[in-house]
Amino acid sequence: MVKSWILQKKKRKDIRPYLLLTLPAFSLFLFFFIIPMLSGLFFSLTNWNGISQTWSFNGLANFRRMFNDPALYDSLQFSFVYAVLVVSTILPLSIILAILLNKIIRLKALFRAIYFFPAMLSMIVSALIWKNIFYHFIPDMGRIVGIEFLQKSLFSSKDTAILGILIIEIWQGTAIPMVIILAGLQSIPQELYEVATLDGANPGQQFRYITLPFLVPVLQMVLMLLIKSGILVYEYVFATTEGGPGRATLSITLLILHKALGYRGAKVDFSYGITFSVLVFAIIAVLSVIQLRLTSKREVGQL
Amino acid sequence: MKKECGWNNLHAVISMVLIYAFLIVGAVLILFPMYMTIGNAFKTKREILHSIFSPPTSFYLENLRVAIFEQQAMRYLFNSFYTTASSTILVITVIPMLAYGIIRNIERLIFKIMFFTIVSGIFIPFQIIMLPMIKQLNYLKLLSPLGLIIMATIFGYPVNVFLYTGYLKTVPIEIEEAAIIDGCGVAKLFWSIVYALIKPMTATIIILHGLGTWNDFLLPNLLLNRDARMWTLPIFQYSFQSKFTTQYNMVYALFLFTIIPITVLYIFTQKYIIGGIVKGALKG
Repeated sequence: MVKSWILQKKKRKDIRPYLLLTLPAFSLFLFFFIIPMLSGLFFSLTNWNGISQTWSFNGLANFRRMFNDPALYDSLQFSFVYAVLVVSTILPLSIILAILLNKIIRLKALFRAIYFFPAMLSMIVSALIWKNIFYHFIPDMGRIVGIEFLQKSLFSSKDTAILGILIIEIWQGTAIPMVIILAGLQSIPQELYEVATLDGANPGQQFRYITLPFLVPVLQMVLMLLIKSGILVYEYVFATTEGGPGRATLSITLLILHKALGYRGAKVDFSYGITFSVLVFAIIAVLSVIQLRLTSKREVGQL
Repeated sequence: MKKECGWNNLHAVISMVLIYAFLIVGAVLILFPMYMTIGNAFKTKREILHSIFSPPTSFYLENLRVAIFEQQAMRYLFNSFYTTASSTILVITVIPMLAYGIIRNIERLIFKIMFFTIVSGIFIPFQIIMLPMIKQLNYLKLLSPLGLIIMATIFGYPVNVFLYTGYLKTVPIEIEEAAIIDGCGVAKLFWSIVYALIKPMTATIIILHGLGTWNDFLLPNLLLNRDARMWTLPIFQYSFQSKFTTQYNMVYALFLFTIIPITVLYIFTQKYIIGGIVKGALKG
């Protein structure tokens, strides 16, 4: 028995049928994913505008131009401020909602279903629904009630436009972190709480010493999810302010598309647009490395 | 002692009442846009200008009729359905094969390379690929629904290969070894035995990928926006809004039209949808 097992192990498995299974699908991935990605990196070093037949290398000129472009700093500022706002509102809110939903017994499924519902809709539809609310309903309500500051749309001022977008994000973007954290809470063994209660630990202490340590991996994941979706926000801005007023809500994704495909009479400049996406790539790569570090540390810690 | 018990009870009751009150307020805020949508979809233009908050006075169906028949919303519903269904079917046939081939030979270099090439795609933002992708597809004459189906599937590779390989690791290998000894070919083995064993993961992926593709806007808009006949529902919704800026009863009728199918689906399958999304997120 053991002998035949060893013999089987020693004989190299014939991998040809497995290659037949995998290579066609893998070459499609190379062709439609890896090649565009590499050609993106390549074209950021050229002056191709996307239309003309000729182009030439121009080294790092695109990058030099990008770092002197005030639009870059406006959009980086917006994207990072927005990401910070997204994290600092949605993270606590989704923790609170998950804890409350975990506590209640009656109507639990109903409340969970209602709170999750916004995640079912497309981001563009949510943004359009809220756009109407901000442009028509809230100002109308302000007029009826006679409150001055409600009469102006949030999107019409440079300082408040970001808040309008944040409200849409909170409305829709809390759902998924909430159910993930809820699942994390449900995985905590109940005996721990019973023992802690017997030992006289109050709810605050139980949260600090039982709930939080168990939730750390889940929270790290949610945090990364929120940071990325905050920095890369697109649909909400595109459907509501299109980056305005001025450049107040010009998210980095929107900026890439404006630069590369032309916007409001601006010149189409393909390779310059790609240069911005290389920067986004670098930012996301740094975040991903941090994320991987955190997760690998966690696994060591758990052992 | 007894008294303290009573106080504790009261305390618990009050805190429960507060929790429910908080949750109800939150639920009202969540549902408020839905109320707006349903309420205003059935109003005439005059009614909506007169009062936007009141429920509609009559069941006025003209808006829905115009949106669905004159503006051909059905065409876009069909486009969305057909691209989403095709891409989802591709994802749940091509990717499990790929994942299976990779994970059963992961000790071989070539499969290791495949695995890491695909899975590291999780960390690559769509933004770096989208512009060269447009040029490439344009060159191949694939700025079409077919191109959308291909690209939606390709962008599904990294996460889904990761999920399937993770799941396949938990599938016991003894059955497969027995089948191979009995002379069963790899492809047949996969489709007749292994595919049935990974069904739970397939169900999760149908939900994740189907919902994501159905709701996506950026990718279809980049590929299809030149030809209005090919649009998917989210693109149509966006252009409809700019076309009917002043008639928001019309806009709301279309919102209602797009929200109804997904809501009906949600009501009947919400347990699986939420479960699937949690499972996908925790593993990914």
